[in-house]
Amino acid sequence: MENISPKTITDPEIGDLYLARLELEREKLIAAGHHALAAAATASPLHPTNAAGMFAYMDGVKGLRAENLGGNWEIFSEEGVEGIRNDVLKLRVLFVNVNQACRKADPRARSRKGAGSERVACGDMFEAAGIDLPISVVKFHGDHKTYYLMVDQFGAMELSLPVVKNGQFLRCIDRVFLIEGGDLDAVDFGINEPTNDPDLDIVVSRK
Amino acid sequence: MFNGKRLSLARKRQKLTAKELAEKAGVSPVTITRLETGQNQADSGTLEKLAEVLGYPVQFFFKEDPALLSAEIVSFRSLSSMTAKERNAALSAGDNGVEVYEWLENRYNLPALDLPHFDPELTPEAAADALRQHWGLSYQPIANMMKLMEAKGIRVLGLEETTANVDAFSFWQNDKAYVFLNSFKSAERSIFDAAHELGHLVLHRHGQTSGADEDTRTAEVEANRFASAFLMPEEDVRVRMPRLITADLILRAKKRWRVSAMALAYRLAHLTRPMLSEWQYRSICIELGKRGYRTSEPDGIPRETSVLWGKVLSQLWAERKSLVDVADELSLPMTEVERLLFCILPQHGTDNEGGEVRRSKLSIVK
Repeated sequence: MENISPKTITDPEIGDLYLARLELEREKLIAAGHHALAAAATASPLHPTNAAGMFAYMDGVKGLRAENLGGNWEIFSEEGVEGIRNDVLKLRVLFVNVNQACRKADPRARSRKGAGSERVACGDMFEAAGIDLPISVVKFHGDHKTYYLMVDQFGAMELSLPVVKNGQFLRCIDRVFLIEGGDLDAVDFGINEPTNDPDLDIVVSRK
Repeated sequence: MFNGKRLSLARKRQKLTAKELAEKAGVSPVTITRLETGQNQADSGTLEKLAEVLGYPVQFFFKEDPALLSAEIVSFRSLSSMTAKERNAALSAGDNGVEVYEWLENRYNLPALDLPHFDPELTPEAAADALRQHWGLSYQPIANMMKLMEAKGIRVLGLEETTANVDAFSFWQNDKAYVFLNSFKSAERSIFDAAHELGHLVLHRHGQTSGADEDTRTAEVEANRFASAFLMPEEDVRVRMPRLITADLILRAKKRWRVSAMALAYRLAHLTRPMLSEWQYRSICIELGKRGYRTSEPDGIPRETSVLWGKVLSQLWAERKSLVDVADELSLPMTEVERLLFCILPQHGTDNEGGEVRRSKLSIVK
């Protein structure tokens, strides 16, 4: 039996310590999220309506791997669930698009999670027990903890340890806020293009 | 007195071997060699034939020794892909360019050179910062790279070669700084070329590089680092660029610094604290490549043109003179003077928006 109290870490320094224990780095996780956001931005009106989310998922997984593989982190791919795994620490990290990250409420996945996700994300133990998530006392008898890099469409990101049940995140046990986001498309370059500098007048005169 | 070095210069400019020139002029290869080495004087018949074949005026061969630039003092970027003929032709263009500028300086008051010596131990980025400070540019984007160089007394000329193998190049000659820009690049890449050559002038004034292996490649990498830092100061880039950087954003942002999309992406990925991870950079390069930005610059900016030469030509025009008079006074072929000014002057009836410059008649734009 293991005592678990849900916690949300918003302080960057404490968050970085938490991530270090997982052999992860904030900047690399954010970079992975940016892979996803950049891919979502390539969806045009001619693409299917779910293209942005699909592109984000594809490149989010790619980003997770591209930025984090190495050391004890390897590719994880099982039952259609893709991400990275650390067999030394018994961890997995998957990518997910969420409705909103870094808010008070737990994030919700923007698309229904499959059975594979549910199995790898330790939802099975609650389902098996036939109970909703207990808050204070949870026994993890799965062999790996499964974290999700949760990215919303405004650029906010968190790394969280959720329980998946009935195709949705039931609740997060731990949440580490990575970046608030919100600065997407905030820059207008048009008003700041360089103009001619009058101080640089070139004087040419006959000798 | 006939000057064999002039014959050698004109021959190399026309990309001819001594044997090829001999065949065209109907003389023996030995004659050419002896003329070029000063062992023989040319008789009038031979001289006229050589002048005709080479397209140079007879008087050209009686001028004093040319500058005779050598590959050692000139910074060539693509030496590996350049043939000896191409390199020699470009060097000869440099020789003629020096004479054109000397002609200009004898007749006009021009901006004095303002390019200080910096500590050779400076990194390329620190040197770029130091030069910006010296010129009082703060961290603003450079509005016009060619105008800036001309205002600081750097002598800019064009290089209209018929091959992409010959890049822009630069050199010091008698304490004067020269930059030759080619016409094969987009406007954005030409601006980067100009900053790259400025880097050579600042960093490699005495041929030194700061790399462990002091070779040409090190010098080229250093000049690129200088250009990147000079055109896109880290402070400005960090303030302007948001955290999420997409290919679309780079295409918008590049207009601020007037660089190619690839150059901006490279800068973002190679800052001391990179704003793009290696993988993001790779993905963006692939995306830009798909959109055609690897080889060209769609939606490019207008090509920079020479303010200094524009003013000189206007004054000449007011004096009822033209480039023909300049060529005559220098005993150079008119085409040679045109080629030196071709890609740096406003072009009449050409695509001045980004892409390569296509040959057309030079005209004065007031």
